[in-house]
Amino acid sequence: MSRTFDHFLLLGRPAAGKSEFIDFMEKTSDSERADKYHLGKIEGVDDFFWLWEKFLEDDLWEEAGYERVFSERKEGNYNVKFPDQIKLYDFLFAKFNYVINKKYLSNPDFYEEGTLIIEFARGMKDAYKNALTRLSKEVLEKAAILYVDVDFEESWRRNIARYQEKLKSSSLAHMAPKETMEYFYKIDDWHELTGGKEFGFLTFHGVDIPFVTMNNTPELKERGPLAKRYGPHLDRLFEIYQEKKK
Amino acid sequence: MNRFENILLLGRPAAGKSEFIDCLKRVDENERARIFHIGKFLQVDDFVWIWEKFLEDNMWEESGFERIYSHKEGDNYGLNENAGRLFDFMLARFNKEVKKISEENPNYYESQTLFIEFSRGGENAYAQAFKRLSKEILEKSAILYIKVSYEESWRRNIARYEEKKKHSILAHMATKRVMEAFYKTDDWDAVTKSRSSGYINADGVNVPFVTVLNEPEIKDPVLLSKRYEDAMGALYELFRNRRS
Repeated sequence: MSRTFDHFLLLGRPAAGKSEFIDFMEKTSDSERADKYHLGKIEGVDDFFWLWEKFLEDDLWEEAGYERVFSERKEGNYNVKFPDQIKLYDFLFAKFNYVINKKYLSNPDFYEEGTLIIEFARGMKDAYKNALTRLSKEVLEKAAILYVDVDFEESWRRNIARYQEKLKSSSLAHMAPKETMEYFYKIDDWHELTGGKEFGFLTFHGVDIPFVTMNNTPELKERGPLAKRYGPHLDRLFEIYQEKKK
Repeated sequence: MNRFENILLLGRPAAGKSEFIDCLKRVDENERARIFHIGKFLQVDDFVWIWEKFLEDNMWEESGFERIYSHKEGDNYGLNENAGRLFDFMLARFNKEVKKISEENPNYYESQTLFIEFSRGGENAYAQAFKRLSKEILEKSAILYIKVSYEESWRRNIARYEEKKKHSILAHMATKRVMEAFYKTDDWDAVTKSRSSGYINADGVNVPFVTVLNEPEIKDPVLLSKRYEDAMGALYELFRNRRS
């Protein structure tokens, strides 16, 4: 039996700590990552990049003399046109299914040593219910979920802090405006969906998907304390992931 | 350096653009430089990006929304008649991608050629296309237009599809609806004033061109190579003289 997750759904509000989690794991040796955190050689799919591609495509539409399709420029940043283009977030799940199927599910050898991290943030009513409904059964059958939990105020605070930090090194730093953040991420349905439980199973497409909710407040930046936070949550998640496989 | 920088490779679908590239790939690099003035090369072809849009439309459909640019017709996809704006978008994308290539490798053109391949049809098709390409691209460009009639383009399009179907379930062809809507006519003769070679003024830039009549169809690689050798020699002369 594999000692690592196949698909690892990494969820949570923007700036909740998902990227920091991946950064931590990338800086961990393969053997330690597998032994302590149950993650194999990691590869990732993150729909933020596809969303960003759409923003850049809209720049090209503008250069070609047409209206932007999905996004608008706001306060030096990009913003999905809402409510008209919220459908873009649904489209991104079809893209997850397509990419994961083409690159990973059709290549079973990947899972012998590899873990695919599937990363996204969703907000609003029924956000994660809709998301998990849209992911394919094949994706979910291999999945375990870690929800990185911070409240909206903390997400917004870290979002600004991250932007200020990035601005120092890149003129391409991006931050969603407050209006967008409030519209999309003020609420989500994670706690409603999980009945407020810290771990357990969610069922979609007849598949039981193990989950763990990890409170990521207060913010930690040092490797030692982060390891202590991540380790027990991933142990718990892997335990029920194995239970499901039996 | 006696090589082309950008070659705009134009012509109707199935006119022979891919076959020309295949022909070049079969020739040793030094020989290719000597005969065709093309050494190492890269290609950017907007068909690949258009195809991406077809696949994205599948995703929109799977998500419960309408397709945006294309329709399905049997095993094939076709661009909707009202989606011609996508061709304009693709020219903006050429500008971006070509700029990226030269930014990532500032010495690119010292030893390499870039093929910029596209097909356009309808009134003012190529005239519009040249207006949309950046001056930076045009200044380095020479145009090879591979000419076949609409009827021949349609015939080869079907033949190519039938051949591909033998080897791949992903074989694709432009449907009759698409061909009629977008490629029945083009403005190449108008743009060139029916000359077979010379210069086109695009955005104030004199861009050399040669038209190669690619009928009757030649499948023998040696004979095909000969068809292009003189044309590429003539095009290079125009390219060199423009620059001096």
